[in-house]
Amino acid sequence: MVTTGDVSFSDIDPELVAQAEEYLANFLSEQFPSRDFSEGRVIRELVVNMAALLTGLNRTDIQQLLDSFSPLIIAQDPTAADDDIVDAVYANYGVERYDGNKATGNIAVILNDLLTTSVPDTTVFTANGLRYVVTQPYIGVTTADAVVTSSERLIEQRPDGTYVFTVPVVAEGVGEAYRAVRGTRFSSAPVIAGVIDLEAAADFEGGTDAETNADLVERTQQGIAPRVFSGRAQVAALFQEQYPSLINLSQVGFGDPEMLRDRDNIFEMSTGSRADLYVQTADTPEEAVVVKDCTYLGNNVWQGTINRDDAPGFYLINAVVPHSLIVFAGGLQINSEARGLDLTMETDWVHNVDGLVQGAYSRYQTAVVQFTDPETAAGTVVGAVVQYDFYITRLPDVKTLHDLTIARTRRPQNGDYLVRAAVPAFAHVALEIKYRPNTMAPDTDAVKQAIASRINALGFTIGRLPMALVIDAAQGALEGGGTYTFTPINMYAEIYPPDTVPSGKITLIDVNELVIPDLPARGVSQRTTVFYLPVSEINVIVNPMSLLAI
Amino acid sequence: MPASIDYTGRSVDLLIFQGVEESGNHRIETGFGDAGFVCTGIQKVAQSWLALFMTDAGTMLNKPTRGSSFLPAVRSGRIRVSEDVPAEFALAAAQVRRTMELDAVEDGTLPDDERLDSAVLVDYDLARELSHLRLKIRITSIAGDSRVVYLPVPIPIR
Repeated sequence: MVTTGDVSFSDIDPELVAQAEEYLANFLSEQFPSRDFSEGRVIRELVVNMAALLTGLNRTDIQQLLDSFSPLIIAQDPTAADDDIVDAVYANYGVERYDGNKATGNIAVILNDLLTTSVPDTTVFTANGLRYVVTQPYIGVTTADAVVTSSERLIEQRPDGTYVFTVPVVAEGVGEAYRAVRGTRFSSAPVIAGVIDLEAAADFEGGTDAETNADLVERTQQGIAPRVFSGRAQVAALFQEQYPSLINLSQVGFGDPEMLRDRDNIFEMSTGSRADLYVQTADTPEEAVVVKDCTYLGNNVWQGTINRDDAPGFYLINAVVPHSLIVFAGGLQINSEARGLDLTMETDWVHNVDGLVQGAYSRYQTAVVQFTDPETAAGTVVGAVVQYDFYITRLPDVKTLHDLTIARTRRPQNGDYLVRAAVPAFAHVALEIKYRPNTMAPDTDAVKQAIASRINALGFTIGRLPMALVIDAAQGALEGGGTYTFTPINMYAEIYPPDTVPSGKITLIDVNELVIPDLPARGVSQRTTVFYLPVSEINVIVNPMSLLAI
Repeated sequence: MPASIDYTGRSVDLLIFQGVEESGNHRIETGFGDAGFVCTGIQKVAQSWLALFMTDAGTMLNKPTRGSSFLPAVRSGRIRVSEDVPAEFALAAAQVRRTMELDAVEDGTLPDDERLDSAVLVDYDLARELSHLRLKIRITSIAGDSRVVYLPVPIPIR
């Protein structure tokens, strides 16, 4: 709540104090005409002026309180309002603040020798300046028999002769920044004996930001709208209610050139009653590990199928590796990947989807993958089945949102709303920062995080990635004193259009701005496509500038 | 000047200089007094003038023009020799005079014996060996009443 403790003298408008002083002097003079309250008198200085300051303080406090209770004022300046009061105000509209959650994942502890290794519960892992903790002590054990409880983790041998076991960790704070990607290097305190490396075994899951007052204001405006499949505001309200951490939503419908599904008739005319809902459910896609039974086809070639429930709406298959291989580089050679659609009816109805251009990145998408495993055991017969791990990039919870569109009680009787993950434009940025010699080198982690946060929040808003935004975000994370971002910077992005995924990507390269092309017939436009810029795809180098002594 | 006057129909201010007597030299101290003394007339003018003269200009919250430059001049070493004293006094006294005139204009009801006419540096003594400056100031109202104040000021020079 707002209290006088939140207001300092510097917050009080001098004009407000002057008005209060004038008012008090006149008021007291009327009541006590024999006392001199004019300017310069002791009573004025010691009594009236002090009282005026306190009156100004109280008025400022009260004004802040009143502002905090007004949705109109909160909307004008969400940062000035008190969080607790904003929560109370918007509770009247049935809107609750989303508190965010902490990222969780497994860290691979890589050892030189097969030795029992303990990880105390006081261990703190750090990557990119962010801290992760274990929730209980763990111990890496050398035999499967020793694994009795969840505390014991089996140490396994890696192909390169080293050993590895995994430790579950949880982020110390909430937010997207804590979602480490596979391969992220960690350090630990205290140092774990015998460890030669610490890496994220897979992309961390969870880790969403808490809603700010500005987020809450925006969502409330949607929240006032009925949460039904109807107009864009209503659908947005429905999705935000069902999935509070939804970051961006773009709705393509009747009359939009990107809407292809309502032209499935012999005249290829738009008939309406269809909408494609492109969602961004996380700042950047995460990598999921899916274990699949694969069939041997001969000549060291194997085949596996990614079904529609394995990673709904997935983007790319990054790697295929033998099952339980924890830390690796590259993966097996993928010979082919054929995307398809599985339109098996789940309820009493299924969406009208014709071909990949209409259905890629929806929960109906599937893939058949053929890959070569040169380590296939001799004598393996054609048709043999072995498990492999597929590392797949995808947005979380596409199916959660999809399910809203097929439930009979929820879906519109005369409409067909298809949820699709936003068409991805995977971006990469490299820049150089120059700083004065003999001063502290800039914090590259902070710069990377600032750039990633700025770009990943763009969503569908501008359809381009301007260099100026990257520079602005970087400069905002830098100390003053002449430290600057050297221009031009290197930027490129790869778009995977729905009709040709995973091959046939569109590459954007430019030093000034990357612009999403307007190719609605291929499902690519500002309305469908977002830039993803994970921290791992930002290269920042820092160099001292050459200066003369002065 | 009498130490007390007829207060009928007058507005009063708190007396913050204690020890004021009707005549003669007396040690004056700042304070509210045991019973909370009040004053009016020339005494009100004198204490207002002194309060402004001894306040560093720019140190009052939201009132940057109130005060004078005299004590900052003392602390910053601008008074090194005797000849510096009247110059710095004149500058500071002009600032105080301007402020009090503005106050009087804004108030519009002050009687003549509560309005400043002049503040004159009658005498001064810069005792370098004691790091001490003594000012003798005569404060006069438009009505003609006056008070003489001796103002001791420690200075950082020898």
